[in-house]
Amino acid sequence: MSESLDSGAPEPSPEKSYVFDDPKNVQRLLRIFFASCAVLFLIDAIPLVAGLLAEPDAPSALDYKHHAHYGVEHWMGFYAIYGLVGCVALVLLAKVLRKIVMRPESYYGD
Amino acid sequence: MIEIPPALVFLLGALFIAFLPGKIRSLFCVLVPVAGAANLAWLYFGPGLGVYCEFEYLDFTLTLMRFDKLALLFCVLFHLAAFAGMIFAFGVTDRVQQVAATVYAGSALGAVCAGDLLTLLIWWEVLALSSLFLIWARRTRESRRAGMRYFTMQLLSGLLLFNGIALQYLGTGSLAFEAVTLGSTWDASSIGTWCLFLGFGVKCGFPLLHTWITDGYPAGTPTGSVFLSGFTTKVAIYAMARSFVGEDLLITIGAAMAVFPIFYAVIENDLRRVLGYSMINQIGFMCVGIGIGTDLAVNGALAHAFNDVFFKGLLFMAMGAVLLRTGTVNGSDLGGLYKSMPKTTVLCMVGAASISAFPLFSGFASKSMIMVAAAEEHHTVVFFLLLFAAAGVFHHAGIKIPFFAFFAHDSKRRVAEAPRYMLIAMSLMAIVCIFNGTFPQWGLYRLLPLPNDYDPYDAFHVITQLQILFFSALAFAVLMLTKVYPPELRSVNIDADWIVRKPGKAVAMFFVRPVLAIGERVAEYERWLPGVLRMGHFKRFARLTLLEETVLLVVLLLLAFLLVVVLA
Repeated sequence: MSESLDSGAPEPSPEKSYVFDDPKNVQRLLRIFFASCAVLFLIDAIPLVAGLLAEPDAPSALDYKHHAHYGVEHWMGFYAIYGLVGCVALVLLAKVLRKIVMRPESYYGD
Repeated sequence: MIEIPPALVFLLGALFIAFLPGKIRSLFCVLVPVAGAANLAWLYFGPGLGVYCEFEYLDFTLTLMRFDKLALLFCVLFHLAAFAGMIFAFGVTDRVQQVAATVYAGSALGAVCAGDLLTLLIWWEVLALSSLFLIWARRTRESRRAGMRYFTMQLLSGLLLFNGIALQYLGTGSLAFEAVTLGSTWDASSIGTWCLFLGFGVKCGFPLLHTWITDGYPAGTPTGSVFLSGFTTKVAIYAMARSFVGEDLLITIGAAMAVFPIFYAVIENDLRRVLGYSMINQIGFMCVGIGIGTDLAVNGALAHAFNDVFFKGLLFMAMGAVLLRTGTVNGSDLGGLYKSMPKTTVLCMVGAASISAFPLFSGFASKSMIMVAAAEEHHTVVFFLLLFAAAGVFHHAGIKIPFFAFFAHDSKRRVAEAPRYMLIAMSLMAIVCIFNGTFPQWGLYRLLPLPNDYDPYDAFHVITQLQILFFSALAFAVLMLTKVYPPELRSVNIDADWIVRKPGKAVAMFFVRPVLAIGERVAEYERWLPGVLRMGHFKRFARLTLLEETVLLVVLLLLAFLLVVVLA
């Protein structure tokens, strides 16, 4: 996934061209990645539906979440949203932290 | 037939390494862990688990080898780590590093086999001293200073341990290295337990006591830091698992350790320091596991310690190879290296996938044990904090390390691929990462000391883990594309070591200056000494300086003492 963000333009130099030098490849990888995210999000509809249809005392085999310990885990896409929101918050808070703790490289004088 | 403690094989090996010439020395370095493994196999299949090598010293009974399932796990781990590390360092011709690394691995083995606190203390100190040389061997001004700061914290840990042992002995009359409970009164043994806890805690990297990791590891040599990442903190985790299983305080401390470093890791430029922060984060998971104290949780913590040596070691190796080839591991100065170091790139990504706990990679098989245990024991807040930390790990270690080093903006550095022996070492580490992740029941879980019937591979764990990882990556992708993500900048970030390095330094200089003045006066008379005793003589011998020599002398004395004790 990480390499998907390399949007280096093709170089005019005679140097060999590498896979992510072509923005088309980067776009392709990004599209595959976004599609996988969508699939992983939608998959969570399965236990939701299976949980609704099954008898209360006989959990369906498709309800892979019936082992979950907390109520929120049953929400559709809970883990996906937790990861997304968590990481955005992580980066935004880290930017605030940087304002407080960042100093020039020579700060300690060695 | 006499049982030989695993540590002794390494110490004797180090003695040979100290005198062997050139290429033979490098080869011998690799052979020492092999010989150690043969000895270990003989111990296990011959005499079997048990207590060996006990002897009386003064009024104490010292036990050099308590060989039980917990010790065995760490013995296997350290032999594998030493073997891979030595292959990675095959190109190193520096005698100091080779001896230091061998003694270092040996002392870690000594510590995990120690059957009493006094024996533990001795190995604890050798561990600290020998590891120091892996930082100093870089021979830069920065590494010398970082090494001193590193060593100061190691000394603090040793002193706490020493005090803890003395107080325990006063209070209980016992030197047993076994489970204790943190005391809540003001008597000697209670305070002793706290000293032990903090002594172990410093080496674990407890918050505010953690900076020796983030300060020392980036200062080591490219190969030295690989060793550093494998042993010290794992010995500390072993000690915690031996003494403080089920200690509630560890859950709180561990959760803090899992969470706070990831913020620093996001804004840190030195990629080996990022790995240092990520190490504290992983140890946080282990501390939580030991603190919860159920079979599943403790097994999870130990399995994670085992896996951490390989995925963290692999990442340190990849960064070591980058440092070797480009001369830097600053994210701001790297990028596009996949073009010239494609194999290193792939191997680094295996390490990244393992630390991020992708299904089929090692982190998944161990981290999930701790998470499940936390949920089962209803530590709700801790569970969700760990979940956040797990997403954060992927963000800063799983994506950031490979992305900024090998992809991102092309730095136009065209360098050679890592040397073959480094690629072999990294491949070995990667194989262990994948094997432990894909077939945990075949190896890793069998080594665990407590009953274990955990299976990480059910639909719930695999799907939810993939969801959290992919959407963490989505956050990274979106933040990069919208340019919200903080760029890599050449900078330092103030951390807890600021106290020592700014106000602390001023205070220390006030006291040190007069001593330095005396030292200079003494040095004037050095020429009156016979040649052998002059510092200049040693300097030519080992190309070290005054400070290193002093410590080297102490190491040698300690080793000599150990050998005398063992042979007597």
